[in-house]
Amino acid sequence: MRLWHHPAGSVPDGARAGPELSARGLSKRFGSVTACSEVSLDVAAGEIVGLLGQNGAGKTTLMNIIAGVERPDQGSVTLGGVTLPPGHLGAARALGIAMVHQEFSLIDALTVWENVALVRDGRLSRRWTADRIRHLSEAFGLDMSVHLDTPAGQLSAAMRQRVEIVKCLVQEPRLILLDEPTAILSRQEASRLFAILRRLVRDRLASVVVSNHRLAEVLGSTDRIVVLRSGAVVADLRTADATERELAVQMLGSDPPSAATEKADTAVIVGAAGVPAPAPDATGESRAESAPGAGPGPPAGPALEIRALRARGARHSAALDGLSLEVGRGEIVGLVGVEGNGQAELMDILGNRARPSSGSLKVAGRPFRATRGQRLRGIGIVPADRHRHGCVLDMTVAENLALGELRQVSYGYLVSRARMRRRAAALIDEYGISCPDPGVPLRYLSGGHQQRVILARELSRNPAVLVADQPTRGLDVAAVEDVWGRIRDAAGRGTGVLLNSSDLDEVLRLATRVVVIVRGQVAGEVQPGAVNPEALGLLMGGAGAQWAA
Amino acid sequence: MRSQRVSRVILSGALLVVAVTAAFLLSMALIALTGGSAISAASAMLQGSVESTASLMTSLQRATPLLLVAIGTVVAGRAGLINVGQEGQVLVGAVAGTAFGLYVLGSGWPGQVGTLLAAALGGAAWAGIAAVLRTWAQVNETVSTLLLNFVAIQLVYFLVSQRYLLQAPPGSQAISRSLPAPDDLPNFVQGTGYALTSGFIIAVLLALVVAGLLKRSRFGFDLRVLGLNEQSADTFGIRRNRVLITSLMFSGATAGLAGGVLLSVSPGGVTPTFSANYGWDGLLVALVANYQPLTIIPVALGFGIIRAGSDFVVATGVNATIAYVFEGLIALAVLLPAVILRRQVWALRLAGVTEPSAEAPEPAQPAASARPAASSGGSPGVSIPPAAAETSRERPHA
Repeated sequence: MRLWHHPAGSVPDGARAGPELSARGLSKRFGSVTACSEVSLDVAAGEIVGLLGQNGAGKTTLMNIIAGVERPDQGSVTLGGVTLPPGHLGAARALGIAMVHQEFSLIDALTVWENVALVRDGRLSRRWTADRIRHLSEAFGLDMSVHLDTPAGQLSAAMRQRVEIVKCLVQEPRLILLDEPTAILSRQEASRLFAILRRLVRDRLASVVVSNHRLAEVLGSTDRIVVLRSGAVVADLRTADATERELAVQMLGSDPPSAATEKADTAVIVGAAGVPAPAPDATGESRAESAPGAGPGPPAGPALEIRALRARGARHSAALDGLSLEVGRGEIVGLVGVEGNGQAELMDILGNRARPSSGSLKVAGRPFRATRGQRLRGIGIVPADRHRHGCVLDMTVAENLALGELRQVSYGYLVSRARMRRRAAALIDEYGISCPDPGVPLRYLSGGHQQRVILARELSRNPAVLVADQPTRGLDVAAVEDVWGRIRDAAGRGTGVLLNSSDLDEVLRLATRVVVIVRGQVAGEVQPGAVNPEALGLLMGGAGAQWAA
Repeated sequence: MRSQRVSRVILSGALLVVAVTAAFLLSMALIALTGGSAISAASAMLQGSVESTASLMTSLQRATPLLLVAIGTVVAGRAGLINVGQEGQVLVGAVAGTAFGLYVLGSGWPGQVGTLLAAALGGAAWAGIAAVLRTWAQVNETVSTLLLNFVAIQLVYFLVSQRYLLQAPPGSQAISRSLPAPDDLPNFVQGTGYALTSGFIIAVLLALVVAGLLKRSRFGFDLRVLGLNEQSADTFGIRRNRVLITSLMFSGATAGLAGGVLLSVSPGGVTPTFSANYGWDGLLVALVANYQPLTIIPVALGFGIIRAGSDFVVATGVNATIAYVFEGLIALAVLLPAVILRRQVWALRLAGVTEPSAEAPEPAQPAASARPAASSGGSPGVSIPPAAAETSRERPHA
């Protein structure tokens, strides 16, 4: 297990002939779905390879096979010349392969140190583990400022991931696989993560494979990029030779939809400063409509009015401390801030999952009745944790489209199957949801189409305000484009949109107004068209409103 | 997709035949080992359960309380509640029905209906304790319903051993006075030497109605949402507590009703062991049927046949415990194919065929597909929450 006792790794530099990891002809089918077909991948020692591909391109399966989670139908994996027994997690781990899964594998009920201790066989010493955690976090500049006796379930997403990384590092791996590690991170957190990975390959000569579907991040953080499409490798090139446009074309298989390129063009490469100006068409159009009373809805009152809202903080984040905010009709208000400044609490309150301790909320001029057992009127919710709060994965697509809208598909007390199907068929058609049949469980749809189902349902209620919380997190480029389009359309029809996103690009592209939240209060407001990145950064860091553009 | 489903059905059918045959042979071997005659036991089994009209009626009679208990168990299970208190609820139902018959109204059809309603109310009230504890104090309903079983036994013991309450004439032990015969349920089928009370018809109709309501009613829809993803209830405006309390109390009501039906099937007064494992076996029926409201009908019939048959086997001199072992083995054999197939489905899900999106962990596995194994011998079921297996994507298959 002690693979990097010496900083340079267990094998001297030049002694390695050939690649560190060599995967040959890996194929894997699940029923009728081909997840990987004849995939080969070489990774040299000290190299960071980015796996790029849309949802369903086979990135996760490929990593699972290498990590021994999945047994391939064909093909073999060798690490440092040793062939791994297929589908043997223990052997892969013993040889020095560690994986950070997209859905974390921390055990909520165990504390931080217990989770870390889990990966070391036979050792359950708090002192030893705490020592290792301190040592590793110092060596790699990992911010582990969390009490080690905190249950993992109480950690923020970013902290969970750091614990996950420490868990990986404790194994002293030769090869680290990270599956979409930045999906839940803000840009700063992502760049910090890549800095750590860079240090790891430089100091320990470990290898890293990281999957991602954000072009800019892959370009800014890797040595080599392998593009997967429909389970096959379609491109393998040095990062220095790659361009965003070329990668987007390879990833999508044709000329990419505008979002892919726009996003790539404007996205900030990790580590570099500068916030892009949004495409003029997007904001120009919606700003015109944000003028008071311009929307087709009744002109009385803003779509959402929040006054002096206070709430006690869940987890370890700041509570809401007298937050006031207004979302006009047809306006898209973007909420930005460093994670843990009250966004989660605000979203919980709007999503009817928590109650404020004081303050008032009005939706379209009517007081927001936060009662249990009542679908809130006039407000559409696209929750961040969509699997938990936004849908029921084991119910059918048709049933999910009817959730909370049962009256519309019922005759009296009985739900009408025919009406439910008709409604589903109409929404599936209107929102371009790809599913073989409305009777299929939602679980079997891809993430992007699951999100479309939620959006379709929420927008079909014609809400005065749509609360979109991380609406494109984890989605592929095409789905992102679609969700953005839907949100803009909704605003165009007069719906006020409150957009909470840790993806600053997304906020700047979509929002007509950007509100910065710091410690549970609105710290300032900027116009996305005229944003000064430095000012925005300072604002988010709590430097005060005088910096706002 | 379709051909896969067909081949799965064929595979599960084949597995079922193999497993049941194996369980049967194993039981016969046990009988032979303990000095009985396997052949005569097997023929007694058939004689007692399906050979004649009379024995078939006995099987249906035995199936009735099982089906009633299972109906409620399915409803609670679909709401995500694991009720394991049926045994106590049956008992309390029987005692409540007896009290009604003795003290309120003792004859005629109003008396019969009243007795059944009182039994259902008794069971519902008993389950209601657990429901209230769950919604007010977040007490896990599995724990509370389980423990209330033991309380129920003591409560009934007390009630039937006090002269001024329900105890039969002096000299008797802890047993209640029995209801007057006219209080029995009317027979639905009446022949020479056999009879089937209308309880069976009530149970089947109730199962059909409940299946329909679960599928089609708004309440049933909300109930299923809650069972599959409790955390989404607030978003969709589902009255969580109302659904939880209603479904758990309904579960108690059908178990109590089973106790009421038992009053006319086994006359002679209520004792603290009156429920005779009907509660546990009814729970088992629901589990074997994987909480499917229509599947419980044939499954309850199957268990009724086994019960009637093994009663008869015992009458031929085979040790009664062997009959219990036989019941348990058959139940395991029926569960086995489903478990094996489920593992395959899980393997597919764990492999991430659907590539779930980034941030959301899989939701907690609903109780509807929980697979507790309960022994029919009367010990509580041990439930193994599959949520752990479901959420951890790095679970090795080896």
